[in-house]
Amino acid sequence: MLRYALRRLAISVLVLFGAATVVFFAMRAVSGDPATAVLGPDADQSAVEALRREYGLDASLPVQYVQFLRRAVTLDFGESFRLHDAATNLVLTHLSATAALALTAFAIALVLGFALGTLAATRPNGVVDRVVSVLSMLTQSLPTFWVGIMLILVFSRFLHLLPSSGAASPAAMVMPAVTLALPLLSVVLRLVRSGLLDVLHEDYVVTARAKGLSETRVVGWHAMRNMLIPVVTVAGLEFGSLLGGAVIVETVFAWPGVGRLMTDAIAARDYSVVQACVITVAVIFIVINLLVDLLYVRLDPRVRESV
Amino acid sequence: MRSPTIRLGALALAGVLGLTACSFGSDDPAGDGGGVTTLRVANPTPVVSLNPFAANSADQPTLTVVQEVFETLVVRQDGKIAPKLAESWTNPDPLTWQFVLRSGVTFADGTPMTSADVKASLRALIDGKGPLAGLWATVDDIRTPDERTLTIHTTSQLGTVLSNLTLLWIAPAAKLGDNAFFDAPYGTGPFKVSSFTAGQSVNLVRNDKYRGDPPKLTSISYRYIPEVSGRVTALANNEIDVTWGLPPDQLTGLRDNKDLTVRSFPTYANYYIWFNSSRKPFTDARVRQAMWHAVDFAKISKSLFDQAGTPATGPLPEAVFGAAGQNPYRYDPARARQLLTEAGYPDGFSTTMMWSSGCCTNGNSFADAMISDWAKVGIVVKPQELERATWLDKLLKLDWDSTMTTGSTVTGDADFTLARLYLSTAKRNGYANPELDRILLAARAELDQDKRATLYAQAGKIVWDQAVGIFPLDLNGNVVLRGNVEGFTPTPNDLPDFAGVSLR
Amino acid sequence: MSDGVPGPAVLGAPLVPTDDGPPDATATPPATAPRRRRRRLRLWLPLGVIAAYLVAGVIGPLIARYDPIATSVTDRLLPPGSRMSDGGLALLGTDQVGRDLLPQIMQGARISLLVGAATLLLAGTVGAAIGILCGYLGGVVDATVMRLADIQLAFPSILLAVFVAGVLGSSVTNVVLTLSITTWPIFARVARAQTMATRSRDFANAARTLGAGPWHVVRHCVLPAVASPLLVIATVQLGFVIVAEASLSFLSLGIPAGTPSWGTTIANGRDYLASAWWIATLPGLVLAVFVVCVGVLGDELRDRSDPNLSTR
Repeated sequence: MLRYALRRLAISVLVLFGAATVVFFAMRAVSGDPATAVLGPDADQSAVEALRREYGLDASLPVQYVQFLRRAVTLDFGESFRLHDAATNLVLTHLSATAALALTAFAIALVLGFALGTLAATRPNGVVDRVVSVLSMLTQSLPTFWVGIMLILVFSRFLHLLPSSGAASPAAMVMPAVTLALPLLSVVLRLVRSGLLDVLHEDYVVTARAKGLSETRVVGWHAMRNMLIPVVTVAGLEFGSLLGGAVIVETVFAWPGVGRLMTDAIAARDYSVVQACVITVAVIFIVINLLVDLLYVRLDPRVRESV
Repeated sequence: MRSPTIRLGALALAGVLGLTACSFGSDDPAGDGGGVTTLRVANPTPVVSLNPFAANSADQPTLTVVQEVFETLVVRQDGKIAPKLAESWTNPDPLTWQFVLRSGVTFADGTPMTSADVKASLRALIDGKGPLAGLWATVDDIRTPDERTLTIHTTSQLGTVLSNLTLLWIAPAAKLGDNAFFDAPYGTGPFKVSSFTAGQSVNLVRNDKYRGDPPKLTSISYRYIPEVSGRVTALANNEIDVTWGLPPDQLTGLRDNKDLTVRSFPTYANYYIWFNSSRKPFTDARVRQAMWHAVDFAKISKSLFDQAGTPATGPLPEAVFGAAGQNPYRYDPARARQLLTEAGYPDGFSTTMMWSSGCCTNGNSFADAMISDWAKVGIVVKPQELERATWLDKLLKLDWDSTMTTGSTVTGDADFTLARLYLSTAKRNGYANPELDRILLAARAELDQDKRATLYAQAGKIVWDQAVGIFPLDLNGNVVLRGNVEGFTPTPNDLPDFAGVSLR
Repeated sequence: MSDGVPGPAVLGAPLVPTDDGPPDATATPPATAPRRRRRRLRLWLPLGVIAAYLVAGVIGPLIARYDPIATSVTDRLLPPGSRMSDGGLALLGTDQVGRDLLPQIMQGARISLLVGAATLLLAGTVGAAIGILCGYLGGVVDATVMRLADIQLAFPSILLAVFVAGVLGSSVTNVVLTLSITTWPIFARVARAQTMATRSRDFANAARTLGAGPWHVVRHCVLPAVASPLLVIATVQLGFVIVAEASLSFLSLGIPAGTPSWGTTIANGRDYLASAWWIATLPGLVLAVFVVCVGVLGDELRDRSDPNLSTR
């Protein structure tokens, strides 16, 4: 078990290194210069060059790369060209906003997904099952920005129930979190439903039933445990992308999160912030998947034996 | 059955439920209560810096906020220069400008404002190497004979000193070198910054040391709402009191809303489509003129822009000093075809037009409409909507056929736009004309403002008649306020100023 | 982007291959007649709708001629059912520059379906090939390639979109490329898991024992086993990809201006949702119906491919 964890850790570091390298060179390969992006078209050449020197962009690429890696190890990504603050600081403050949003969305998706999925699975192909499954597909098939703007119009402009944007009050989180939760909800729901149906036919559940355990206990514990495996796996993967990519929801609802920080930074060619964002998101992705895999091992005896 | 797993699952579920419950808990969205004297403002663009001396010195969002905090030596009022922190000024000789500062002015921290602060501020702007530094390129000496006197000496005559001074903000000399100062700057203006989160929000509070009438607002809070739908809804729902820069189609709906006031006003900004005059076929003025004649701008601007724009009469918006009316280009596809034939393109040609996404009011629709008209005379224009950084890169490398953009003459003086963009040394659009260069440089060196105006009228005529670009319309600004906001006066620089505003 | 570019939600594709036992035939009760009818409906209804879309996409623009360049600014923002200045009926209304929405949506179907199909083809082929290779060979190749897939999954897809648009310019091909790069690991993972499960099965071992080369084993044992789960994943991903194309348009990173796709039409209409709802809503519904049909079809295919599920 320990050896397994250590090996995973080593691989994670490699993946991280890869992501860092890719983002470093990708940003520099894209056209557009950070100093010009900051100064605009009207600054003269000497000003642009002075700024490039200040950012350390006058050094050769390999030198910049080595420096970037050396500082990244100490979690120092340099200063934002655009926002004049340490990139690490910026990412951390924005990350907390995104994390709050993502966790809430995640919670909504899990709770509703489990509830509706179980409901659908208790009567497969019943009316409820059909309605739930089509609705879940519908939530997944509408572009997020459309759903978000629609929610704003309906719940803010016409019904005056919720604030339209910002992160000032807990109520402001409802719409962005629901919007973010919808695609995930549909995934969880379908996994729960099919997982539950699979499990209900397994021998041990049949045995449990035969032993006279109540239906609630059969569905509740025997079935749930096994069904958790794919849900946890997919949820873990999705959670990573949820964090990294709440961009659209954050834009629509003016939510000061890391997704918008990153898109703005990309637009301004703000290298240090983009690098810090990408590496942070990668770390979160890796950690979550590490946890998921460990949980996976814990949940599934077959996997445990093979580890 | 293994109980630890179960407990873990139960715990997770309980936690998740609790969290969801929390997030649905509170409901009051705005919650400002009664007796409000905070003006809630939503910016259409983010404020990324409060430092008006460096990279962001010509940045509209930055200037919108700092104008409430800092003051300038002179201001432009109804097109004329008027004193502010300077009482009077003279030219002892054509190369020297001498200013007498107003007495009894203090910064928000109580220290008096002196000529040393003005000198340090001008130095900071020049050394900051931002986009405005070039305006002061000929300054070689700044002196402070006494606390209330300042002289600026230039190597050659500079007729734009007063216009340029409308964007020189005076900050305390002792603080200018301190980067942290610009996280919560203060000056001599009616407000000071209490908190600032770059890219998100700024809060201003009243400056109690302000020498003039104290502002009726106790504070102003700015926050950035990127999506138009969100911003309009926030305004209609009383989550904010004021916003601006809305697309014309949104305004039509808002004018019917009894709770809101829509103010439209002329600005220093206009639309223009440049041709790369160093690239075929745009090397030929007739081709550029044909492009202009081919588009029915009157119809397009009426349908697409409503009250958001007025047909342009020259390359500079009418509100700018030095703007002059020119001969209009009428919509005449036959004339366009004829010009194309004379230039050797009887069947038209294929070209591209680039713009940066989100650059311009109704930009994509405007581009679509122009491209549709061009196609009718055989000119196939491929649209290229680019990310701003990429667009900028291509623009400066002159790697384009034509480009659409909107621009503002922020100082309100023709020199800022014409000399910045159309001197052949500027290398911005491939157009080079020694005659134009001569006029523009003469206008800059002229101290007599009336003579300068005449010269800019001549320069404008060349730019217009040679069709260096198409100048379809001058843009009107718009500010939308809730009904209880009183005393707002729009200014043509399109930097909404809320110092005189009160809430009913 | 969880919401836009396809997330790595691999339905029914465990990361660690599990070896399911042979299907339990006794668990399958005979299907009744109404149930069979419903099941036929579940297959043919979505297929019919998808076919209708294809027909509309191919033939529609030929009948209702649509010129993406021509605008008619005096006809802008007309509600559905209005007469335009040239006398034509705008059945679904007009957009913000006065173009008729119906032919625009039909033309958009071409582009959106093309993007979806091309992405699946590219990502599916490449992903499956890589997955099978990794699953079959194992060892260093497997470890290296799967780490690459991890890097890909950990890398924000929006950055990728900017990167592709910035370096290669924006075009339909480049949108396909962006979406393919984000999608291939999903196919690779599924193919790999399935390959690993299959290659150690008795019949594969038997084939090897009988002297079959690796190519033979892959072709006759692995490919048939991989094909069906891949097809199911493809139906799920098709929906993701088409929605993702729309999301890219929202961020101005999608199909370039001048080429109508569902995504560009929806994104262009978003500022008009309160005043001219039809511009963004009608193509949105058209897109949603398509994606739901593909999803239903995918579910049905999965159920059919797994005899264990026939009772549902």
